[in-house]
Amino acid sequence: MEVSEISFLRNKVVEPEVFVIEGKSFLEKMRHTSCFDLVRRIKAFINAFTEMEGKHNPDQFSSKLQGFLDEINLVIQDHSQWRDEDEVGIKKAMEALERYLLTRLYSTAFYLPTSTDAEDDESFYYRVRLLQFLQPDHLDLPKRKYNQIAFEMAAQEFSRLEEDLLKSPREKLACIINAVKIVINLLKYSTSDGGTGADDFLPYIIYLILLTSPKHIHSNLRYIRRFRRPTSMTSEEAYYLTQVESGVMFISTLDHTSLSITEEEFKRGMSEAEDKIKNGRDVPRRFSKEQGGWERLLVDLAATNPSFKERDEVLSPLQEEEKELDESKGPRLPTINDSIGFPQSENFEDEEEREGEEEEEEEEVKEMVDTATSDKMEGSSISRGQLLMATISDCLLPKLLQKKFEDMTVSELKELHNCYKTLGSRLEGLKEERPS
Amino acid sequence: MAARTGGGGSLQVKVVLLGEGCVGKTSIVLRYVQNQFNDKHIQTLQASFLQKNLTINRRRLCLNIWDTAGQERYHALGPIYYRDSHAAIVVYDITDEDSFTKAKNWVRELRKMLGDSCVLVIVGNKSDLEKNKVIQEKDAQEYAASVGAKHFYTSAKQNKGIEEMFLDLSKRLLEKEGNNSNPSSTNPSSTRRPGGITVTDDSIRTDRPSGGGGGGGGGCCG
Repeated sequence: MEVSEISFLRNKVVEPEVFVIEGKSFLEKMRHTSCFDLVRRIKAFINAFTEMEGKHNPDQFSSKLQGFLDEINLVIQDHSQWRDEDEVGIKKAMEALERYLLTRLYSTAFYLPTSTDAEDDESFYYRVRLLQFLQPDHLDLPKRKYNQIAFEMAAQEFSRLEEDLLKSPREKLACIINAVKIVINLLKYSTSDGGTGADDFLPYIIYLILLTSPKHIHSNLRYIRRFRRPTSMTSEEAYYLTQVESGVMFISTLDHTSLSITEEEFKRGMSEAEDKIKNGRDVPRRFSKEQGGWERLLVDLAATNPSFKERDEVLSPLQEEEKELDESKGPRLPTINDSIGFPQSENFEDEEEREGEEEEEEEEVKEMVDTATSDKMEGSSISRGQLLMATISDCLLPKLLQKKFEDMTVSELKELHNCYKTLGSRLEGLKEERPS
Repeated sequence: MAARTGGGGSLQVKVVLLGEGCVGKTSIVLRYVQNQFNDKHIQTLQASFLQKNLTINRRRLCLNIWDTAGQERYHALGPIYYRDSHAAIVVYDITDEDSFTKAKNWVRELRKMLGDSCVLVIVGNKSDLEKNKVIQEKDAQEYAASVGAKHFYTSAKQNKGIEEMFLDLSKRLLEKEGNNSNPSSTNPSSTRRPGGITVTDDSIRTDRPSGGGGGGGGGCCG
């Protein structure tokens, strides 16, 4: 595979981080005094939604949120702050609001205790581990169209679904769509016999899910269905989401008759995996983000290179930082950002009678805006994955994929060494930019 | 589910495509959307999801065509795809009796799940292989009528019957939706089709960038 082919595979992949930037103008508009009432309603909604916790079924949570979004959609359309916006502008504002709300409500809305999400996740994860013995052949995937690197890249995108950092349904959906796009690009690239219909496509999606072995697939898929505004989803997105849902269903119910495998082989594979799990010897996931192939390629290579001795020093803080973010519940603490003007208290004249509360509210409005704008804008504006990806596709891959170290010429090794140096300095630069 | 009007007043409809593995359902859609038939060495396409924009009598329509996997092992997954469909195209191969039986199964499931709300078309493909035909026209027509569907013969290979089938489907969808959509302005490049209906083949886009909802509604089918 050449560099151009790698970038071809990532064609149309949209990093979910762009949504943060897209939502900025909405949050800035919300700072205007004319939006005070709107902000108040949003806050009241957040409180009401949080108070529903444990008392309502998933459908009620879903309709509560969807109803509120519809309500605000009408308000915004007639609001002075959005008067000049066209259909697209309103749509963007609604996307930003959806993202803001669900980021804020994540700890309530994700894993609803009144749902069966947790059990279903667990049983799916168990099943997918039992099925790790399945190979592309068992799903009749044509060998010439299968490519390990492409699949690992897709699995990496897919597994981002489980990053707690990506909280909104739109971001989670984006991870799925990105993974699917990589598979589509692979098929485009490797098919020479006409169009690829669903007959060919679905088995790839199933294999991708097996490869990724998601721990929380049901809760993620249902979270998207419950809280993503249906009118914001294009039919194409809905289609790929449905493909993944049907792939999950297939994996949950398959037996040897639904695969190209003998009954004996199937039973043996299952019982071997079962024994391993019983004896506490976990069946390794074939791909995992933590030590998965795609990133591991780089780390392995780095380990053999003396100029990269300090890689742990560079990588560990980044990993720690990601972990901290993953572990933190709810949005990150607000970063005070005084450079963006915020209405002074005298602007809220109509609130005189509630002075004490008002100050508090103002703080909260500020917090709301700051939280949303700062969230992810700083710490992880370039994620480690993105950085590695960029470097790999820039310079490392052709070497990685075409030759082993032993087979490389001196000049190729030199070039590779330079690649490491580039990566090293990029990581260093990144390290310096951050507060320790 | 009522079809919704997307950006630019185009009526968004979901059309689900069903049929056994080798009946040629993908070829039919590729022929329709891209005017391609995969005889050999034609540019590869991702054809499991395709879109086609049309203007019929000044009303704009966007067909979102959802292909489904036709292999027996995936049969149970069908209902996940039928959900919220406005129309279904069930394809069989006129030279394959089994494919017709399977088509009937799909029709039964569709009707069970969606009732009469779904516009249904049954398509006998490979009409170029007339001499090998095993499903008689009379039987097929009668069956279609009995389930409230229309029957068409198509040949993806010879590009026959496909335009007609989709046009009829689109007209029925528009009738069903009544006046829900806003008529768009007349397109000067419209062509007259038989039946006095003005049909415009709008921009053909199968490769719309849309990853992760990033599209800001820029496409006709936003």
